[in-house]
Amino acid sequence: MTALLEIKNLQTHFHIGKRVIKAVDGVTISVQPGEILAIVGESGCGKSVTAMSIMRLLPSPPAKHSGQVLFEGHDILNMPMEDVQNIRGKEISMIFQEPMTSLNPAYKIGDQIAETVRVHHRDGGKVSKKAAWDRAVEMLEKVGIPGAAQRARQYPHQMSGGMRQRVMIAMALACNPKLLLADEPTTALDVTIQAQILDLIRDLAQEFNTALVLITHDLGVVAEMAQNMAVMYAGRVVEQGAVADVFDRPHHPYTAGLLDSIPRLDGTKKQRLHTIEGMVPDLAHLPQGCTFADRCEYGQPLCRQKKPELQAVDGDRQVACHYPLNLTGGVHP
Amino acid sequence: MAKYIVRRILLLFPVLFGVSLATFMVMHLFTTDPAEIILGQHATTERVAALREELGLNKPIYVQYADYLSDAVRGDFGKSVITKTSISDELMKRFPATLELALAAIFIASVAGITAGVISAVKQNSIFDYGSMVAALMGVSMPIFWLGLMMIIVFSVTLGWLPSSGRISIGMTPEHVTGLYLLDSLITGDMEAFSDALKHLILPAVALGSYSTAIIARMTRATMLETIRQDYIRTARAKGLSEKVVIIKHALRNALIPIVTVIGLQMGSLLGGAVLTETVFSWPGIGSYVVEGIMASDYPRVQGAVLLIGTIFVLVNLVVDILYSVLDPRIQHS
Repeated sequence: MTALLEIKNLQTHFHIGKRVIKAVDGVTISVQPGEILAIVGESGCGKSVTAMSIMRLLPSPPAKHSGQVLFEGHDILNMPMEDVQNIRGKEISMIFQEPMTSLNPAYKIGDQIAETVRVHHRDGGKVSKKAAWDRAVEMLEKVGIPGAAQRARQYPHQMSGGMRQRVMIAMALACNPKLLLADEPTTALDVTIQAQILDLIRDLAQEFNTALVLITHDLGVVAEMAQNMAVMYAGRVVEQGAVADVFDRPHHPYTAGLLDSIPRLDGTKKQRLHTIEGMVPDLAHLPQGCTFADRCEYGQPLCRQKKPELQAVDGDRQVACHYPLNLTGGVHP
Repeated sequence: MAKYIVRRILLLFPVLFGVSLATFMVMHLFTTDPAEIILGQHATTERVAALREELGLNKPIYVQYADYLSDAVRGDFGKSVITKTSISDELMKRFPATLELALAAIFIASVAGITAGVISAVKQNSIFDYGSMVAALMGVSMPIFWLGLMMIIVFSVTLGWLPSSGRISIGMTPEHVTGLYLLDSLITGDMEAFSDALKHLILPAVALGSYSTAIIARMTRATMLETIRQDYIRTARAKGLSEKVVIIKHALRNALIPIVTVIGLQMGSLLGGAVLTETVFSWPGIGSYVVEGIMASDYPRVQGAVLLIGTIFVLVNLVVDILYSVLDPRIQHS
């Protein structure tokens, strides 16, 4: 099966004055049609920048891309902007973290959804205003907004955060995209709304046969939603694999550390929560060797000298570590 | 909405009352006795006293004010003490000239200012950005009368491209419909008069609009820079819209609210503050009428003109406030 999206050694560096911030520094990920992939990592690890780079949404300069982002075999990074605009919203859509500010306050939400529909039918005959509006109302119904026909005539400020995120989802899916990027879509919402929105995204992605890249820092969400996951650390993917596998047998010490940091219902009361010591390295001055070496419990001299590449282990799994944990064949030194 | 407008109109009355009181007081307390000025320094005391009697200047000041106000409310600003003609008639005759000049100036300022501001913001730190902001700084710093004189020297005297004074060449005045020559000549189809009036209008309108152009350009740049960093602009790009649509439809529309405020305030001051421009270009509007009035200590003239200007200023501001709710659906006047 050919991959829908194939990111090969993507680097997104920000050139600010004389400093170079390596926000994304060699990310390789592939997404199959209809797949749900979660990208996990802490703040500043480059997950959002990766998503923005896929759609080329970062202002350039200061952002500079290298590597490849192949969408159905075509490299988005080397396309004329016009072609990128034809892909945005039609083939690849995005939902953002901040529903409160992501909608234009000056236009009715129905018009904002209809605009996406109309702009992407420039070539294949024009969609009438009425048809685009009807599609907008239909999408609002699909995302579970009661009284969609009336709501479409409202402005963003007349809706709650959860409702606005539903509108964003409706807008993102209005053109039946093949890929949906959801960048922490529930972080800004109430806990009670989060599950509803996530369910909605998953159900609609299935219904529209849309592949989903879900960016999150919440491992609970990953376990609930995704089939596969990629763990990012300091601008690189450090581990990749099927969610159940990774949770069961993390190969990278960072993944293992993250999983250990989750409070457990069956833990004893006195037990202290596990933490990963130290800080994320400065993205302007990345170490020569493994970026996690300074914080790693299992660090060896080799880790500080040579950067480990992402390599296949244990069949479908990939890990960027010189001394992976929990290998079926081998034992950790 | 209708309620809001009615309330705002009712609020105009105390403001205008204050304006009338202030101009009246300034003209009566701080200027020399108009009777003496009119009669000259060699006039006898008796003649001055007689003229004071005739003009009503010896009545108590509050009676004078009450008389003035009761006439003004009916649109009667009295007679000029110099020419003895009706001030209201003269103002009505001159107002279209001022309005035409102000409209032309604000049109030039809005188009040039918004365009320059948008391009500067989109191409921040480019040569265009630096160039237009330096030009804008010069625009706000340069005195209008100096700019006007320089333009006359260059474009009228040296190059001979455009006339230096007046609204229209003698004998070309179009048939009176609105009093705005450009509009009247278009309505009556008198294209010769149209091009003549346009030529007369260009220099004073550019001179008068230069300050506003600069203010609007700086304001547009600042609000656009803020707006294009908003999340909904990223959303608009993510939808696949072209950069042009993103900037004009999504960013500029939201940036317009503060810009409209500035344009409204500028329009108000252009209508009233064309004094220097009208004098430099001998434009027969209200501004030059006020200047002549001040020179001649013709106090009813100044009072009438200032009250008219004040009224226009507050009305323009009312229109701006109403425009807000059209531009920004979040503002509701209830």
